[in-house]
Amino acid sequence: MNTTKLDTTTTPEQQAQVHAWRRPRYDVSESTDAFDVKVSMPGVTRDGVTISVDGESLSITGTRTHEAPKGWRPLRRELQEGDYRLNLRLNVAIKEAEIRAHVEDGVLDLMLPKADEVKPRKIRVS
Amino acid sequence: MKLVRYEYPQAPSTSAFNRLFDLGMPSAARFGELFDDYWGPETGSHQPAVDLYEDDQNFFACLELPGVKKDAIDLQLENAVLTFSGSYSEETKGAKSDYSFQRSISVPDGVARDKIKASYENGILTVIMPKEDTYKPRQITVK
Repeated sequence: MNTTKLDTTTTPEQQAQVHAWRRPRYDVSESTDAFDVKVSMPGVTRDGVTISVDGESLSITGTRTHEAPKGWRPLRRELQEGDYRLNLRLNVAIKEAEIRAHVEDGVLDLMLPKADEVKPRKIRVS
Repeated sequence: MKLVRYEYPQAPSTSAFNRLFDLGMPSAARFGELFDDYWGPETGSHQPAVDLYEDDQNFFACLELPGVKKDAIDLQLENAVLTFSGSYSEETKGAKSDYSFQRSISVPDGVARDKIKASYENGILTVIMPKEDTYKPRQITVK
């Protein structure tokens, strides 16, 4: 017999808080021994940044400390809301222990040193 | 003498093309920005997004200017137009890139122009425009 009872159980995914993420603009440049990733994260301080490397994926999140105070009534809104999240895939081996990060004026500057085996090598003709 | 009195600050887009798409869309999604996103900064000077707020005492403007040094930000108030502009260059090993931005907002009537203040922190510029006393909301008691 068919039951018409509505299933109201929720999956864990639905219970999780919906978080508004914002994908930041970023630039990647390469030098002979490192990659330089610059991520624009206005409103994020040094403490708000988390960087994690898991195998091939590099994930960066930035939590904004800048919030409009409660009493401010918006007249025009153009800036996006939410914290920043960026996932990048690393297809080149890097030295995870030597990643350096620096935040200044709302820009995260990440230095990803290349692993020795992928650095260009000079081979001397003997 | 002004024919129209402005009670609120306004932030029109500088490019005529974007302005076309801004018509009738005072807030929320700025359609014009779609084109900026699509063509990117190659379309010339970058136009930073701005949020406008008010409370009983002040009007506020917030702009995102990531990567810009405080000294490179130029604020100019002319008549009733406040213009944010600046140019800066970034040097990474061997390559030098130049950036510039400009954005204007109209300052409404009733703002104490000589008391406008600006602060810059973590890539966000906040401008405080205090209202003159006669423009602040006040309670009128019934006798």
